[in-house]
Amino acid sequence: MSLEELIIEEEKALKSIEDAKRQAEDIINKAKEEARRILLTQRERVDAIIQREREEAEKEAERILREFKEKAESFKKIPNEKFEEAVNFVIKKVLGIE
Amino acid sequence: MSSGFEFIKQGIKQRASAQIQQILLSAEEEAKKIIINAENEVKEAVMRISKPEVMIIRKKILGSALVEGRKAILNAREEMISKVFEEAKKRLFELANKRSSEYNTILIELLKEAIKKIGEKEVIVSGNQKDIDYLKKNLNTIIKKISKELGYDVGIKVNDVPYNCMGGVIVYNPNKTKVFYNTIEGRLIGMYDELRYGISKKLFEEVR
Repeated sequence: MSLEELIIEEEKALKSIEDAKRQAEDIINKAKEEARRILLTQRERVDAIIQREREEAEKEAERILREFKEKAESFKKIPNEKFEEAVNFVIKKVLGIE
Repeated sequence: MSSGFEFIKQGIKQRASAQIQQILLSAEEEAKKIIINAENEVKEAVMRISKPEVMIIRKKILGSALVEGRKAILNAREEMISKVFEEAKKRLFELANKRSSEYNTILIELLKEAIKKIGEKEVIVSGNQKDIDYLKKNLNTIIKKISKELGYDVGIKVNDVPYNCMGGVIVYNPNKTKVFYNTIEGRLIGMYDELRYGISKKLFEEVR
């Protein structure tokens, strides 16, 4: 082993370090590229959320409407005696005999 | 001497290796940070943008469901109220057509009420053919009865021209400046709001 060998070893080490720096730069560049790609997904994600919320709202709307329609149907199922009571009320009022 | 060089050589290698490891580790960490920051930035932006849009969409979809639902309820109520009105009209027509003593009493009451509203001593009365016939036939008795009940003498003439109505009377003063429509249809129309309210109360009070 000689001094030249040590110098060669030192040069090799420096070269490896330089390679590592390039590799590190590469890693960071790739990450930046990935970050740019991520930023580009913004609208896509907004649309996905909106679509999901729209579907949920539509389900909720269906439920609300179903409940209202059930209630509306219950208004039509008036017992006969109540109907008669209402008819007699009109007749008496109109004829002024209440 | 040789082992001394070897020692230095190992040292160079180890130092370089440690430095390389550090460089790559830092790069990995920075890369991770860049990606996390991008993710966070997007998440924040997505929330910021989507929140108001979602609110608008929900409001629109749920709002129209509410409107449609309320409309269904209103229509159902209207349908039932109309059925009551139709049935009442049918029965009123039958009652007026049957000419029962109950109807005749009501007719006289309607006439008395109209004369009272007109507020004149001489009046002319009209109605459908059947009511005119009845009034003409019993005019003297009716005049006496009404005069007594109103507390003053009333002169009543019956117009021979029939008025197309279900029943009831139209009363006016001789110069026709005052007319009071006390027909069944007229009363139905006049009392429409009050009747609707009453029907609604009777039909739906407990359904709400």
